[in-house]
Amino acid sequence: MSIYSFFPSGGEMYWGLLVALYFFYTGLSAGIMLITSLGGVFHLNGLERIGKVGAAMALSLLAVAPVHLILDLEKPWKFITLFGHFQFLSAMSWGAYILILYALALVFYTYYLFKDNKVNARKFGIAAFILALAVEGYTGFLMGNIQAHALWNTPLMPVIFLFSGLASGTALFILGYSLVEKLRNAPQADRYAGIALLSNWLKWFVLVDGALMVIYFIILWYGHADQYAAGYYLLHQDSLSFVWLENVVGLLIPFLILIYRPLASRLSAQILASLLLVFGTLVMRINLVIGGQKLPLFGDRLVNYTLTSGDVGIAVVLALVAVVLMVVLIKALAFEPKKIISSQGKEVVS
Amino acid sequence: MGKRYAMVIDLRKCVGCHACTVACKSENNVPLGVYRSRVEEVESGDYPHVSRHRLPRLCNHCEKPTCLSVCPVKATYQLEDGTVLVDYERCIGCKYCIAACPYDARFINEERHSADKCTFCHHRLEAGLQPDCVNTCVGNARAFGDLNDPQSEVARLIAANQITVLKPETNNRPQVYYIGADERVTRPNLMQLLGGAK
Repeated sequence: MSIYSFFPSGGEMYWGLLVALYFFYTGLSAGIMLITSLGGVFHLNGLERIGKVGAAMALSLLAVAPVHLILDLEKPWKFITLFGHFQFLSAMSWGAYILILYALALVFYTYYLFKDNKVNARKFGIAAFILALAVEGYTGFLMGNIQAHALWNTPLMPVIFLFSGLASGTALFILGYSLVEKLRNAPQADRYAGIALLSNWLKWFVLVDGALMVIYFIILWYGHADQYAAGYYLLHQDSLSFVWLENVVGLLIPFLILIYRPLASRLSAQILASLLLVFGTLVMRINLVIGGQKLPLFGDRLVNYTLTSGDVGIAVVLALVAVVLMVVLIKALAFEPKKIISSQGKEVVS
Repeated sequence: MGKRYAMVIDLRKCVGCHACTVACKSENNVPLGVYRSRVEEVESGDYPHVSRHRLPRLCNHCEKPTCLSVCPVKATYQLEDGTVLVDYERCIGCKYCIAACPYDARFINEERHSADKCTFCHHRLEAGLQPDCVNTCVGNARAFGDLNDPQSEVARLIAANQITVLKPETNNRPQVYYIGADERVTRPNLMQLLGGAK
């Protein structure tokens, strides 16, 4: 029996690229913070060296993340209102406070790391670590709480966000850290020590991430009518993006690289796996935010999404700002000053 | 007990003239391309066994509105009579309420730069009038009034008829009731839309 809708709603999607990128950047920042603070803050062997680069990267990414969301508001100039009217039941309201506290903790953590004040760095590192967990969790709740969209409405969402944040954060850190170590001509053994450990963990994060995606899909498939339709949509209408780009290129291939011993020990293979993982997580965020709104609540037309040049421009500019910030912060904070012995035998710093 | 406003729409009487849509846009200065109240209309079946179904849609002024609980700045609020309203000045336009509403009842008013939706014509209620969609309906399909008053038309219609609400499973407890609603129009046929089993 065919059904035809007259006067279709034909609605436009309200959340688009900028919201997806906000989730992407916050996930990366919190993921990097969680991983790189393990050495300095929790004294995990082999990871002490990476704290400063990690803090600089997490801070740079966090600096641009909320700008996406603010510019996506209809009244960007009124974003400060978020801090005047706390709504207990709103994940977004919680998020505003969690994000500002996370930012403050991260700034102080980075500052004390730079000052080599280990006691204070640890205090703020612990706070930033807990708040990074909250950042990953709240973004998941923000979507998972929404009953209107079957693709979002799952209790798995906070866990999915946590593990995809951990995986992509670790992957981006491996990329950044290997570059930094190369630039500062660190001895090969030193350079490799942290990365080897992280890439070993990375495969487990990817495994959990992949397992969560499989569970998520099974729940959709055996769920109620809207959930089944959402699963069907992912498999049939969005298969290039969901199946191939997000899960095969973005999860399965990196996982295979990381578990295949002859490849797993090579830095170039780890970098390739990391690149694919970061790409896959970006695709995942876009699939989730935009794909999640594709199915209409009424009528018989998929909901449109129009990518505007303005949004693309903002995304590109903010990505460049993040990279520049990262370079500046890493250079300022993470490079050890060169020690030179002067002609008088005194140690000076260049 | 205070008032609890609700609307009953008797779809047996709806002729699909869309006068309610036009009246609403005119009364509330709703911008082009968006609607506070609209009529979904579907034709189902294959010739010669076809039927046509209508569903006037508007904000359901839910008893437990998700749009209210997700609003991060408390711009959405509820009056004692149950009417859900938006403080357009306070709204920052984050669109979380639009994403959260299971009834697709909200939109961005580009002129106000804020979320917008049906108010049950709150300004008319304050003046002792009925919402304009009720006032305009040529088939007298819409009734509006106080659900807590057993003598009101809405209370009597709900007591005397088999009524349905949209998406009861969301637990929003919508306060727009339908008589004679057909599932072919109250829910999208997503599988047909996606090209799967119908």
